[in-house]
Amino acid sequence: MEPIITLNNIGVRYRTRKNFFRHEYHDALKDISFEVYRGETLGVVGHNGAGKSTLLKVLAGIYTPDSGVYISKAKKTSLLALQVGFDTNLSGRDNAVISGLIMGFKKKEILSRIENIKEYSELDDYFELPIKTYSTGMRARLGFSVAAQLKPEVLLLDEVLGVGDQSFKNKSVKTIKELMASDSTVILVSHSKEFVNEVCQRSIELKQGHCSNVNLIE
Amino acid sequence: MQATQFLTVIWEKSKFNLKSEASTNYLSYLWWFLEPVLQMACYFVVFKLLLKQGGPGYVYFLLVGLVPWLWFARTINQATNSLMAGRGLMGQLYLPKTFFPSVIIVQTTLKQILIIVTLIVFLYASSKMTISGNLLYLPLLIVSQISIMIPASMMAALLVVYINDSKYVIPTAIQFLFFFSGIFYDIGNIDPPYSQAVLINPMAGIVQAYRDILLNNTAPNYSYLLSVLATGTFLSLVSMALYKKLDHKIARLVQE
Repeated sequence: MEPIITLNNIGVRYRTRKNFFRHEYHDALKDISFEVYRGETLGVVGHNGAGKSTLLKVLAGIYTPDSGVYISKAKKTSLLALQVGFDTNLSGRDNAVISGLIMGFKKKEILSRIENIKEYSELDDYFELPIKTYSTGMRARLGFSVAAQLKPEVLLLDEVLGVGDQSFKNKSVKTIKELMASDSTVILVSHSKEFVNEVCQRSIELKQGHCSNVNLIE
Repeated sequence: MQATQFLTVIWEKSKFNLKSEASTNYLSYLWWFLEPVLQMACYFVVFKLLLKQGGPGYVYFLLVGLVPWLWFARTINQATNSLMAGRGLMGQLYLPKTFFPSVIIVQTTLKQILIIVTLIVFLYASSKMTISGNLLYLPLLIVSQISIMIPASMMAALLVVYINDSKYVIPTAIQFLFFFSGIFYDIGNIDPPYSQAVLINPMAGIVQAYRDILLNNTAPNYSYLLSVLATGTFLSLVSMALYKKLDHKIARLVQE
């Protein structure tokens, strides 16, 4: 299988200021090496502070690692997070458009799928209202709908499935499974091992910045 | 991200920001025009009524000076915080960091075009301005002003990322510049050797040029504007190159 993203001995080190002259360093990631294959669904599990979010940022090309090599072959770098660039004064519709544009989609593409996004999000009339009137769950639903309907080349999901009510949760799991079956590459970060085992083909376990396990899930 | 897509995103995001801004105020779009008028009223009271300064037509003189100045000051002030304010977005996906100050510049420029058109209509209606070939200099003047606002905005935003305290210094620096830009006085009244020195500040020459075009019906100092444009373009390219070099560093620095 062809790797779409390759990480080779990646290390990320944060610097925090201790006092005016001295800094403290701590390694968020150390010697991480793995490949993400085109079309697979990869889970990343780990406790709080294990380096999951940092790893996601490296995968998305947001952070350049302090050591190691990062190679991404995703042509349209539409790696994707949720609720991207939301403006609370604007309607769900406007936010869906901005979000899609920032992710790298053409305006035409977004407008042609905007009604699907509306329908999928189940927001109905709220879709036309400013999102400051939304509940947290509704915002998450909008964010997920944009991501799910625009189908990026690589989809990054960071702990998004804990939000929304039970029926939307079921629906999002179903959508992730559909994306998994399509040619989208999905990388899912979660602290729930059960969930990752349920939907992913492979999983990576992080322990204090180290990659402790690469599991194949049956 | 392709260049055309990047420009589209900046353009669309700027328009949405204006829409968002207008939706939060009762008088929404009207504030864009009220702001220069209120400031003008304030300076008029202080300088004309209290200090007995300013000749005939001081209202128009002030307005024509304040409109480009407020555009400049508002752009730099908003851009100063743009990278820090964009940290949420930066943490979610990769974007070239020039995006953040660029959106501010496009946003304030769109507003400014409407304001300038209104100003011209107002000046014409109060027969302070004659339509002549000199108006053709206006696009050059606006582009020259943009060319110095680009590097100023970008550098201000970058400075705050590296030295957080500079967010307190930059507004003061802009206030300082205000007094040397000839907004409430005519820099033509300054005697040498200071008359040349004051033109080192490009905003002084730019404000002067607006008055030449809109009030005095004379051609602005063409070579001065071209030298501002050349310097501005060069500095814009330097800032963009710097942003490109520091691109990934910025994403990390704003989070730390």
